[in-house]
Amino acid sequence: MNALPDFRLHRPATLDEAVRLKAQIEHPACVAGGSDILVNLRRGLAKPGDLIDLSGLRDLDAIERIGDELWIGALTTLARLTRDGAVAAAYPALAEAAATVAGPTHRAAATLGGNLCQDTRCVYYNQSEWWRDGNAYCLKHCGEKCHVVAKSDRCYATYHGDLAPVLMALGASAIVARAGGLRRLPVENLFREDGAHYLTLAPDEILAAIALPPLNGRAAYVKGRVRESVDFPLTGIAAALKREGDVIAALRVAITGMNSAPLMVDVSKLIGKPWNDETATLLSNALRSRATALATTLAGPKYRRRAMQGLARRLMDQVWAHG
Amino acid sequence: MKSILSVTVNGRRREDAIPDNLLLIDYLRDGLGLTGTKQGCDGGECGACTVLVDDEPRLACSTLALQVQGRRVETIEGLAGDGDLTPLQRAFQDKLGTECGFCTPGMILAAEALLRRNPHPGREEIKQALSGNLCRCAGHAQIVAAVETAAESRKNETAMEGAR
Amino acid sequence: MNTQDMRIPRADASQDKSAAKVSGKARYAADIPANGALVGRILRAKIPHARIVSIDVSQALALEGVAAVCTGADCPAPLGGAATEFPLARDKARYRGEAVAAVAARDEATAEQAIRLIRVEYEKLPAYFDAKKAMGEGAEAIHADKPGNILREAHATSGDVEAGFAAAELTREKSIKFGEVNPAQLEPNATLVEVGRDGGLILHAATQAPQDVRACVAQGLGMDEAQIRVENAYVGGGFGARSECAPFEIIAALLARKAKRSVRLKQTREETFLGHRGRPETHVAVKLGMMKDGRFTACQVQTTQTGGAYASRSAADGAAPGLYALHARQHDLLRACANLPPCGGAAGAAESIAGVEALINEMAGELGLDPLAVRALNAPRELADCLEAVKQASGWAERRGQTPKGRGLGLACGRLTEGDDGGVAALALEVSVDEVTGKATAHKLWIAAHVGGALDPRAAESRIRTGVWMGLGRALSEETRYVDGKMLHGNLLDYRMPTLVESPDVEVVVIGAADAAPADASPVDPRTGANWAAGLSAAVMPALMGAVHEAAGVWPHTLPLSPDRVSDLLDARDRVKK
Ligand SMILES: Cc1cc2nc3c(=O)[nH]c(=O)nc-3n(C[C@H](O)[C@H](O)[C@H](O)COP(=O)(O)OP(=O)(O)OC[C@H]3O[C@@H](n4cnc5c(N)ncnc54)[C@H](O)[C@@H]3O)c2cc1C
Ligand code: FES
Ligand code: FES
Repeated sequence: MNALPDFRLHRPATLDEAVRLKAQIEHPACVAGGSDILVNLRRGLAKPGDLIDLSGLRDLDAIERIGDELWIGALTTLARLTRDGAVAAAYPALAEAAATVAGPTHRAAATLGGNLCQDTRCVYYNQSEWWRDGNAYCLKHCGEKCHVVAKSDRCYATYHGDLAPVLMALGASAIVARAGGLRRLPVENLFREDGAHYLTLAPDEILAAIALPPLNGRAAYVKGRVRESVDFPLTGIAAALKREGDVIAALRVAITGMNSAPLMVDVSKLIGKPWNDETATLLSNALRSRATALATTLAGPKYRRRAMQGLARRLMDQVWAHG
Repeated sequence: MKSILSVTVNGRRREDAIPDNLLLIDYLRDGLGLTGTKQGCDGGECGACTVLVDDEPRLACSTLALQVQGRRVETIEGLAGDGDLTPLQRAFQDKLGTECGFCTPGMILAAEALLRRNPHPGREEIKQALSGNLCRCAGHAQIVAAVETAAESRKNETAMEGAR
Repeated sequence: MNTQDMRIPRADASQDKSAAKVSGKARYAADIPANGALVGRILRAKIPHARIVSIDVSQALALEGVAAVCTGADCPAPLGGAATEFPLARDKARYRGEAVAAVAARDEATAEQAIRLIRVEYEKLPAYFDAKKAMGEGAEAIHADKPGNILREAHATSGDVEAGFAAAELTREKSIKFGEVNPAQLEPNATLVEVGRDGGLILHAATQAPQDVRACVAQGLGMDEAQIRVENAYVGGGFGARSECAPFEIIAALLARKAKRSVRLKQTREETFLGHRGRPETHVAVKLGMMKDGRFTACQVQTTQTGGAYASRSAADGAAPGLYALHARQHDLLRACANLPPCGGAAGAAESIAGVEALINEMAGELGLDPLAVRALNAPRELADCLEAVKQASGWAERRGQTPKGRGLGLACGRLTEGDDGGVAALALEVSVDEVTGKATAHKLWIAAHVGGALDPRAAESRIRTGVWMGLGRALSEETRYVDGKMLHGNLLDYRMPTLVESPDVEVVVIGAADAAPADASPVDPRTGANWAAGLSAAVMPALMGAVHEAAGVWPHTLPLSPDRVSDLLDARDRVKK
């Protein structure tokens, strides 16, 4: 039942080999932990002729210090992120966020790269072939119409990954491998606000690692969901704050579960001010103008916006108190 | 497309030519007749298909069979080997941790993975570790009690071995 | 009673069964080996209400590897003698997902392909997804013999209701909406049908009603019952989904007979949701009369169910038994059919009780009375015993009104089953409400149940836990959702069955269990075959509502109390404050 489409599986052992395969094959798909893509393939959401299994790439699961950065290989499992000493010591927010992803058995297989690159989601998309066929499909896959925003020319499926906002708040870089070598970009630039084309990676590129700069201050992540396990974030907010005495010296805030991409929130107006009701209102306004939650989830957009606002305030109270 | 899978299943090394797109759950159930691994959902949602791969829990329904190449897979059938039941299985039986039983193999393997990693988990750790395994009949208290009992009996066994 | 450390030797049969379950040897319907069995698949309607003009199966039949194709024409007998439900739709398709045709083929891919080659011509009809519209003037009849789309009506009155209300010192009314919920048994539907040499059929079915399956299959295929054998596989939960023959059992048999070969018909989780036979969305309007000391004088309940296109045949009758010694009572039940997947036969007794219990809590609050004392005043002996036991176990007297900010304690009573028999229960529930996320979390639950007669206390306790657990799911997060009759919740992520971390500590007191053989931890009562989930959910829901009121100062009116619902209530509260 829900059999996978026919594909040829490639199991490269090294990153070089994987990148070469990606360049050679037309429209290849990749699988790492499989907890996102295999579920989607079983529902007929893509029919790749070739699938490249990255889970054998031994050179991509290291966690190591390089200069003053911590590099985490893209194949590192989330279970490991929750237990790794170096991560827990330097970036507890990342370990905590990883512990909120899906369920424990998912996390044993799920990878950092897969988490970042996971597909966007929508109630009209994450359905069976029969279901979507009976609904004339949708803009994201095989169809002509977006059922969420009727007359739109782009897909509004929502990005629900938990780790992206934390990495973005932490100012992390993505290290991307391609035939010519590596390139580096801020994690936020991996994403595009378009539900159908949510990644900026080129077809021949593979996410190799994440590089985390030293954290100067305090970071945290908070996730809103119905069940305390398994559920995707209905909203998620990450913040990294540097507090100097009674003012916000530096602040980075990112959100997930709201738009078609995880997004940085413009908090420049808060810098140099203390965290109080006034700056809380500034933050609230900044969030409101950035987040567009639409009816892509069963819990309505109104709820997601409300929870985002309340949780963001709570999160800032917390990092401010401990900053 | 077919490829050769070399894998150890329940202690036995095997080699099989299998389709590239074969899921681990179908390899185990249809290929090897190991139907103790259950399918409770259309993929990734319920935990009923949990098996062990190199001691870690893994959803067989969202894993390709070829992804366990060269690895060690354990299913519920292999837990006790040819012997009786393991203390964990017995605890599920004694503490009424199994009702309709459909979630039970996955639940036991998730618990087994926990106990291998952490022989003395607290109650909250147990709940967390099993939280991806849905149980509808929910002897939830009984399930937690079963894992606690098993942990306790492992402790006693180790103590006895130490004394010998 | 604490059974944690009790070790009663259990009956051998149940011991063997549980050993099979923990060792993976227990074979459920999809586990029975069947070399060379054909793969069955079902074609389902994609429109919610339509006349079937024609079905062309010729291309599917011509496909290599297809052994049989069946349509409604192959089975003129209605399902189990029900009036209008057929295993495969005949004249009309009445909900999105109704089985219209089925194929048996050599493998899954071929079966899928064949399904796609079947051409069905439909004539669309107006469709209704809620009771009001379905019963509205001029609505198209979903079933020819059910004008006005009323599937069932029941009215029951006892005592002088009018006089009761006239005598009351406080009369209040409340409307509550209970979301539709599904059994969501963990084992997806599956059947294996083998064909004997003599043409007889052997069914391995995921059913709790083998006799009924046998009778219905015989009827559906026009065969003699003697030619049909139903082998009982292990069953991965039922909760109302498997207490009678379901269409797919007959479809599998039709395919096997036509193909003259074994057929395995497995369903997806989505299909299992479609065939759910769970509890329909139910509106309950309650009116209760009370004296200032808490004595009830009269009670009136109006229950309206938005049933699916079909209902289980084993429909309960309409009169919901009350819990209390109260003469003046009136109950009116209306069940509409809508173009939604088939629901179970429940007549809303649990929801009616839940509605009354919720209103009792509100009125006790208004009168400044202890809701436990109010109930004790009106309760018959067995229920009073339960209340007393819960009072003791929970430390009610000390706890009530003393919970820290953001926490609350709620109380309610219910029946174990929905009928008059089978025991009563009282429970208290401590809950916290997060004002930011709107999330209600259950922390601790105390329940005392009078199980009334011969039952293994350990098995009874286990069954109570199951019931409480399902009740909590229904109270906190579970519900089905449709857009224009399209099921949105057809997976275990969106149908939010709670996880183990949502599971609160539950303390169980079993009263009145008399000698019985030690039994299996089966979710159903061996005496009645019923589970206690519906009955106990009737107590869990109002207890949660009461606890949420104490924690957050709002009286809920819609269930489940998922975070979005609670948030709406909090916002409404704050708007009034301002
Ligand atoms: C029931 C359920 C609940 C879930 N809950 C959550 C949740 O709460 N939060 C959450 O964030 N996610 C959740 N997920 C989604 C998923 O499990 C996680 O996001 C997981 O981290 C994905 O990692 P993976 O390695 O399994 O990815 P895969 O499924 O292997 O891959 C996902 C995508 O990323 C691409 N990819 C993987 N690695 C790379 C790479 N190195 N370079 C380029 N592309 C790559 C793949 O090609 C694929 O398109 C849930 C999934 C399920 C089934
Ligand atoms: S079968 Fe449900 S998670 Fe694998
Ligand atoms: S025992 Fe039935 S699902 Fe867990």
